[in-house]
Amino acid sequence: MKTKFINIFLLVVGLMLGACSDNLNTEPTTSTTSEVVFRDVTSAQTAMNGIYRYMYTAGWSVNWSAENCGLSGILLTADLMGEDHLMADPGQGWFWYDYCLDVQMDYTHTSGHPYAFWNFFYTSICNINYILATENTLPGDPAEVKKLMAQAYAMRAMCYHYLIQIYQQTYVGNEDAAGVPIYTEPTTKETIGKPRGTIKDTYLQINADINKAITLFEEVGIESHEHASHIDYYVANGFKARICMTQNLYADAEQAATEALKAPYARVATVNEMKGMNNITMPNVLWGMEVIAEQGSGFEGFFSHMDADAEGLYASSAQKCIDASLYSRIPQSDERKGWFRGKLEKDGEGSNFSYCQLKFKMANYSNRIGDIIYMRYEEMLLIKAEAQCMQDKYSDARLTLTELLEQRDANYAEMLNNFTDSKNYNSDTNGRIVSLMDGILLQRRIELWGEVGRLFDLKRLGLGYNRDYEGSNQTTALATDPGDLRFVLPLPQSEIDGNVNISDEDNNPLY
Amino acid sequence: MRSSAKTLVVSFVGMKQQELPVKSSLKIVLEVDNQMLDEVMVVAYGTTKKESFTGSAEVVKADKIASRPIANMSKAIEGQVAGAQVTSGSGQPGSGASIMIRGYGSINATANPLYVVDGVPYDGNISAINPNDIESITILKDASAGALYGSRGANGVVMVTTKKGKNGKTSVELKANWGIASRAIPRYDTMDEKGFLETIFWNFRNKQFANGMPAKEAGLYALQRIGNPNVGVLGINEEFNPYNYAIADLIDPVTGQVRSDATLKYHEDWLDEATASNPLRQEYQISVTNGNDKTKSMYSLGYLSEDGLLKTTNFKRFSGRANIDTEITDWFKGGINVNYSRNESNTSYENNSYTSNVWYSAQLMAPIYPIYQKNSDGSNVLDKNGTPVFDYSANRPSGANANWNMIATLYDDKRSSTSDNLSGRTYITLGDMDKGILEGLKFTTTFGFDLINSSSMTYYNPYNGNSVGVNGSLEKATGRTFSYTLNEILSYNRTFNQHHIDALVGHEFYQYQYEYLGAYKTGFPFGDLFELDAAINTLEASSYKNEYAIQSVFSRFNYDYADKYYLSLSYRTDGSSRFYKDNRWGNFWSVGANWRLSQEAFMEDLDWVNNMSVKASYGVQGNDAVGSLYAWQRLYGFNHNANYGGTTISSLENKELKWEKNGNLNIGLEFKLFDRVDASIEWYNRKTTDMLMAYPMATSTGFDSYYANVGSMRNRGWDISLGIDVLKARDFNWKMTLIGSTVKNKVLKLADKPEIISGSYIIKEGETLNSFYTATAAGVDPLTGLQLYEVWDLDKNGERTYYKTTSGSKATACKSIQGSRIPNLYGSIGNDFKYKGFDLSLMFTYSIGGKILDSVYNTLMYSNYIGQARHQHLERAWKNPGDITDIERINIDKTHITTDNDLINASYFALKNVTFGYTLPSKWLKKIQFESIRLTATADNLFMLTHLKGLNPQYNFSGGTNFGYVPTRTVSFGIDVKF
Repeated sequence: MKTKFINIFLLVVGLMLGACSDNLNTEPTTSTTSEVVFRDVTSAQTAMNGIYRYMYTAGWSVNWSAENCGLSGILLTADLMGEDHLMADPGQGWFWYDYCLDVQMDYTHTSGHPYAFWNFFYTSICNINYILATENTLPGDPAEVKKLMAQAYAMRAMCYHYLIQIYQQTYVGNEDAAGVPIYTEPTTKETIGKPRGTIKDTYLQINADINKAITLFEEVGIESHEHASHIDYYVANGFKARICMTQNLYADAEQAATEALKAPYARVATVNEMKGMNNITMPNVLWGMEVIAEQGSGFEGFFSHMDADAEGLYASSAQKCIDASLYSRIPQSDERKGWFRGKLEKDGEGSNFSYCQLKFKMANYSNRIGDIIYMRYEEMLLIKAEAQCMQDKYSDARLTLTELLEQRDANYAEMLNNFTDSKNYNSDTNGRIVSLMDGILLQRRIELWGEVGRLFDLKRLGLGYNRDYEGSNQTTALATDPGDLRFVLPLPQSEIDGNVNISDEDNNPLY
Repeated sequence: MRSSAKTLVVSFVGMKQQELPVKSSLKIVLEVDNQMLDEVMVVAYGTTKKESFTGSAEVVKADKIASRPIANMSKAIEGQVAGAQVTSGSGQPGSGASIMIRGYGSINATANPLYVVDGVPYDGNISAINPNDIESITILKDASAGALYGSRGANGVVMVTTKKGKNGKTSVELKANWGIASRAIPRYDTMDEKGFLETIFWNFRNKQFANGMPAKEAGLYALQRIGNPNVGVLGINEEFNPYNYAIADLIDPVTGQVRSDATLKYHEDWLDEATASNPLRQEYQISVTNGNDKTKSMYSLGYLSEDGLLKTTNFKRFSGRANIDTEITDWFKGGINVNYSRNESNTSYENNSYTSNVWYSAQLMAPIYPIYQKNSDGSNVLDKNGTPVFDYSANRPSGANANWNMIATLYDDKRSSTSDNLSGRTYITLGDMDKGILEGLKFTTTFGFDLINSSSMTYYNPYNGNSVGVNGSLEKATGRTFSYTLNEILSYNRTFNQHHIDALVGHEFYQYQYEYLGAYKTGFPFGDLFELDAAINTLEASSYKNEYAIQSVFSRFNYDYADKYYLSLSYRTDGSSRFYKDNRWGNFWSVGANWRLSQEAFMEDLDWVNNMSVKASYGVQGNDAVGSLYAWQRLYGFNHNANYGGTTISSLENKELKWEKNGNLNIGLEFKLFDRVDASIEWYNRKTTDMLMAYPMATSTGFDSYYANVGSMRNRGWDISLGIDVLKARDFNWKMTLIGSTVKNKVLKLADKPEIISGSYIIKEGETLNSFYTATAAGVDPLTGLQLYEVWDLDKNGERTYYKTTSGSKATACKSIQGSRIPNLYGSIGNDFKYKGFDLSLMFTYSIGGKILDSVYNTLMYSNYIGQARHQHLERAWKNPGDITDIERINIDKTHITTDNDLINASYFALKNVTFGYTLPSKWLKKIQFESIRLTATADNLFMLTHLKGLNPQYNFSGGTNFGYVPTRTVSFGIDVKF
């Protein structure tokens, strides 16, 4: 018996040890490592494309991700915080409180816009910094490396530029006010939160980054991008033009806009060519995101919020409308009048609603997608015209504006003739259009309605507004002063909780 | 047997020891020892006698589990064990409850206990275990009891032991149970048509009145707004006015009252319409046990079908089990337990604010909106078959789900899941001989596995609701879980005179794999197609695999002397794949001692002391269950840009990440006096160190946090159980069980900054975890009807000057800690009565103290949407200057600031279970060859008293609520036949 016992015992123990695997090294199957990503410049391109994807990815907050559809959600918020763009109805509340200028108190949690916007830009910056950290070491074609780095620098400039516009008042006159924390090194677990610094510090970084990007593009020889979503020399100059405008650097802005307008692939589009504003192949696109079916955000996407005819989606119950006063200023002869519904006798379903916007339409209802345009030729013309006007170059400005208007309004010449040559503009945004500058700014409000964030223009131009005028169609009738406290979002609580260099006292004042 | 032997001592766990004279043939009938049976329990890697146990563990026995009409055994724990807090769980058939043992063990890592089934950690669905197959559930609460599961036992262990075959005659048991369900918690008191319209009136009227318009004029303006089609309250042409008067005539512009002679044209309730009346629950079970000296077996087959309280929801389970133990020779034993269960569920959304979640959308539907289209006289519009036509009205306001009918989509959409669950536990034991040089030495190897194949589907119909814009959508997913545990244990168990030694050493390997495959398509040519092939556009297709493994070596040494002194030592080391190789191994250990005072000479004279022991243990257990299986690694996820491959960083690297540790001290006193009173009194102190936490980073670094071992936290409290035989007469017995527990939680240390704030919650050093952190209300201004808040300004010395304000932003900047959900005392009161063949048991549960932020109630009170239902408490809202009230004037344009006023006392008292049984006299049954027949009537979740009607105080452990499937009350009847 003993032998049998020992035999069986040995057999069992042998089997156990044989069957015993000791592999405790596990790896996820749907991720990769930074070593693989930064193996060479070709694979590192994926890191840049990941950041471009962010621009139209939803979900930057813990809840309420539907109203955080990447950069488009941020620009929409900034537009609704102005006076030209309104919501007909609260719907389920998405963007409604932004429109009511009542989201500051959301800073305490991670569901609202104060957190989501901050998170969006800083997550992008963090990814950019990992790319830039390989600038001198990344294997591969040096020209390709430079092009990649140029895109990363330009993107970082753009991110800091939006951050400072959202989380602070405008640059001019507030140079020494608190800025936003600046990071240029890759984040590790040892990374300590940076202090806010000043607005001036922030703009130093922004200017350095965008100039570096343009220099790098020039060094490898100016080329057009391979895909509309990729930043090239012209797009980088477009960013620079915007950046210079917020610092009132008009000559630089004019010069940068002029460079951007040299893009061989872009020209002014006709209103007909822009139908739906949802296609990166439009002739006026400088920078835009191609959204394919698998990468759409469905009901969380930009067009769900805009297109009132997308059944069951948000805009169908909360129409995005143009302000009646602005609408009334679009001449009948202007084709852009068709971007909006106008006053209806009787409001019906979907976009059959007074002043409902028709400019942004979904490209494909069954996939709920449409391309998202972030920079187009006409914006550059408008920046150039404004910058020229600001430098008293009135006839140049008129010429620049003409390039746009001849594609918009048959009677443009007469309109231009009525403007006086002046860079002064009316402080009442519902006031009379007298000067050339009044005209340029009005054209900007009409042409770029819903696209660039009216709030940012209000801030840099030092304007407030009154939504409560005679005949207003606004659903929240409020008035703001220039530099209104509500124009600035507070830093999110999560920043204060995690940053040893920023305390409650460093946060922006609440209204 | 030696030929000179004269006496045979027969003993078996749970049976009375007998001494019998040796004869050539002998028939032995084992007698059940009721007193003993209480004392034996299953513990980590073996069994033990309760009075010898040095740790803290409690047993829930089969009868307490089987008497509950539940599909998921986690719902049977409530009220049975001191120190275990249990949530109500959802009312969805088949769903379980969450269990938390002795407080929050962790902040970001799991606080769930480890489930062990028949000796092996269990990864299957809890609902795949048929509660009728369970012999006992042991809850291990302290380190001495649980340290052998050291790796994952830090939050306690729930050990489930299934029934085994018994030596003796074959026994067949048939059980059947039928029951019906209803709401266990009543609905909130929401306003009827009259109250709702009046509330809307006050909303519009208040705004104008506050702007200086005279009262009557403001009232007339309000009536005009209500009727305005652009506002949409009443749709177009007052189509949703349920009264026989136009709105201008219906409400008095001064008093705001609906006129008394107004009558309703129709009255419908959306949630009632979604609720099934008397949904049926039926359960059938057959089990066979038999056995002889060599082989013992148990087989069972079960079928359960539970229809949900929410129409279209249900749960079905087909289960079968075979437990077989065989003694091949006296030194070679083996056994296998196999369980198969097929679970099928039809579910609906809950706990979110989707329109498809009827617990949200139907509950919040204002009472004036009809479910079915109405003719002008209020009667239903009928289709050509005479059935009422659902109203999908586009004219309802945004808060009332325009273009949608949740009752219709409840039928037309589908959400279901199916799982096949196979679990096996096999073992081989060598040795364990009762003589020779190897006496007491035993080698056991156990292999246990859980295999779960599950599939799920979410379908939205193409005609209305969620996916109408894309012509319907379908998401299908399959998941495959396979986990196994393999261990080898060498043990030695000998008694030398008064000394008893029980030692073991073992090795264990655990591996878990999960594979997922899923796809999402849209665009159906027709409705009622539930396969991906039928849809046109592929919007998503994904797959992934997860892996996790633990390798362990462990040992235990138990020693006792003369049944008086017991000592227990254990040590275990685990390597987890969740951590980097240099920091993967954690060491866990425990020391425990028990002194049975009652065995000492000095207590021998005290006849009234049946048993008394004091015990103490301390040990360290581990927890590695932090958010991700790959928490230490720096990873890039995929984020493609159109046709360009894209990647973005998803986590930071932390090679130093290691096990969270739980130092657990337990001191207990146990006694039994006068043969009547049983008591267990324990004090524990549980300190979590190296806490696995999302270490807060500045969001501007691109990460809110990374996983790190930081901080520490403490839970301490008392667990007291008292069993009293109140009456012990010949025919009448009354046993009462009182359970009470306390837990005090304190966060001792956090990261760089001593607090983490999230909305209305705060985690702060020196405070209770997840304390409420809100503004402070200071009444309603009688003049304006605005909410006042208690706020402060700081002077230059940092001193606070308090004052009152109506400024919401100031109030938000002046938040204070306002308590937490954790109760002061919670437990249960059980009563078991027996009279002849009748038995009655009543179990009450209670919880005293703690607060809840009831977001369902808050939505009913302060939601900003026109068209949503309103709570009757708004009748108290401020209306006119001079009104003294605690609810500010109705103004749905204003965002409500959460204050201490919104925190509701979480105390409750509930009658959890009543079971009435009758066992037929055996003399009747003998004639018909039956062993026993028992009839039962049970009412589960009979009533609950709370501070707010409608509130579910057991929604979760952190003190929030959501729009969830209401827990159900079940009234059932059963029959149990043995022959």
